[in-house]
Amino acid sequence: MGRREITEDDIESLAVGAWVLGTGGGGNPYLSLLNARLLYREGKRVQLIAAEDLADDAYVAVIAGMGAPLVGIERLTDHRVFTRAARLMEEHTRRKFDAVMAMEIGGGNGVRPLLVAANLGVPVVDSDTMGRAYPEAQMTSVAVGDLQPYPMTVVDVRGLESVVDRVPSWKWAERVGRKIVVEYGSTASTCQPPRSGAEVKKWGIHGTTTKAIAIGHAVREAQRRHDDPVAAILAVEPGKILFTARWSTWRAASPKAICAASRGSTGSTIIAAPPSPSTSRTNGS
Amino acid sequence: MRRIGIDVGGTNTDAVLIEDGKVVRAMKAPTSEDVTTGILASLQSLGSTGLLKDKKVDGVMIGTTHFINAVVQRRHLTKVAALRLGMPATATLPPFCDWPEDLAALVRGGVWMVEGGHEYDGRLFMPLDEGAVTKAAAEMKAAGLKAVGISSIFSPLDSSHERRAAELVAKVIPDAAITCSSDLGRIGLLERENAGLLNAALSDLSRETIAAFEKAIRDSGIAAPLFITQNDGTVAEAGLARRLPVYSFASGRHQLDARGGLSLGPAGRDGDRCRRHHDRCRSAQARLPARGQFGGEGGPACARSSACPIFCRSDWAAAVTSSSIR
Repeated sequence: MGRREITEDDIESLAVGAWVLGTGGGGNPYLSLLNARLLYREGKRVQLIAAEDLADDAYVAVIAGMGAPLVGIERLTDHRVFTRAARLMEEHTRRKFDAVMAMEIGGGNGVRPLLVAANLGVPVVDSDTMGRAYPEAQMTSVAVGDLQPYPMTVVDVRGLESVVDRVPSWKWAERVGRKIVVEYGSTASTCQPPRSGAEVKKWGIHGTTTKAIAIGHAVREAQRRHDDPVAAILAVEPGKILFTARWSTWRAASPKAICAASRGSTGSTIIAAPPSPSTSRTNGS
Repeated sequence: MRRIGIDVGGTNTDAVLIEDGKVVRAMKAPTSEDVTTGILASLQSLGSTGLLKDKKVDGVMIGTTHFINAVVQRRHLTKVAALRLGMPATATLPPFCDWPEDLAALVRGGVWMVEGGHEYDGRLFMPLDEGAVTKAAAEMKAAGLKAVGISSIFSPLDSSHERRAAELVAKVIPDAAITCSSDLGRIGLLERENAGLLNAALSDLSRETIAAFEKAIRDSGIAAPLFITQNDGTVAEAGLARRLPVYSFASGRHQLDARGGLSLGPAGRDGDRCRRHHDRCRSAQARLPARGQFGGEGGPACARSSACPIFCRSDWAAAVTSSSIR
């Protein structure tokens, strides 16, 4: 696919698509979208490149917000703090990044790599390490690949900066990182352990930024036409409707009621796409 | 129990007299340009029936779209000074950051962002920079701004910084109309702040309108307190409605209640309605903590919120300015 510019319209679609791929996780991309709009209004532009076009020895930053989405919607998102997390990693490892990628495409973390890439002047890689949004570091594809789980930088907007320099496992990276994040107030900007181009090619979940943009584009177009956005997603992705249900009161949201609803009435629709890495990969190639 | 319910619609102003839950009389008058003449006409024609002679009326309940219309039609809005307590966080997304341009141009009187706010667990995020607040207030005064919207990080859990900042601003601008975001919203700084800014923008209109309603009641010869319908299905006493006019936004369904004789007593008395309201809202809010769950000092900001631990109303106000993906 080579390299292409992410347009202003792509950013809007990416935010919607990342929200869908987050399936409730990863936090609301809205605040990251507002930051991205800001940077684009300043004239900054971000390039999207395929993992296969990375040099094997390229140095790739893996960006993620860590903490509670609830805190995030009070403290808001600041693109400069995410950029600082990447810069701190550059200072610590004495190496400049050649590209940025997402740890998780789902939710706000699907948009944040753009903020860093715009400020560093490097491209975003069309890959992440989840294909969705998962809660913890040991659940990523780079953890499955048993890649080096350190160093990690953790930055707070008040100028608090930490480097987790060595941990024996991804589980430990999560435990130590989480301790720092909680002390910071349960939200922090992180630069996850950097990856080489070769590692990204082998272990990344590929094509996920493109996929999020496509999903978001489909949803936004459907909304514009007053069509069903769920049907629009199914038209661009191999998803499946598991059941449709209407929840009329909060009491109905018990497991028993969900089972009952899945057998009966119609209303709002819940879908789930098979979250296998192979699905994600076919889309990007 | 004897009450009068008035629905100020686009064409007609409807009034009903309700005694012990039954509609005794219904009147209709054309809605006037100034809203209140129609109300006065309705009340006077009710009075002229003789039904109210020597009888005590417990309340006049008015449902009005006056305030939401002001926002929709971009009329009668007051310029607002936005004061946010949360630096160094939130800096790239200042108050008014995602408002429709035309509305922002009318309402944005100035933006001040200073250090302050709390953590989710009650710790300080930053100490309140009182010097900066006082300096901001002086600048607001110099700019001739009297409507002030104050927001602070995690103020629904601990509103002390907003309260303190309000005190400091009031010292510099004694006649300021100050809205604290914690009076209106729950977690979500931009949404809560937007509700506060809209509320502050309505401060002049609210003062004038509520005074005019009260005058209309007085002029009609009926001695009864005024209540305004709210978007959670309750009614608020005039004083509260004057201070928080955004709560009348999207209260249309409840105006029907007012007209149909289902008007409720002052908020909190009707716990059943309140509970039903919460049942509706909880499905959307199950993920979020109810007020007070985290501890902190943030006491209920108004009489009604003590009866309503889950905040829902400001979402309406927030929705007016939120055009995006939420």
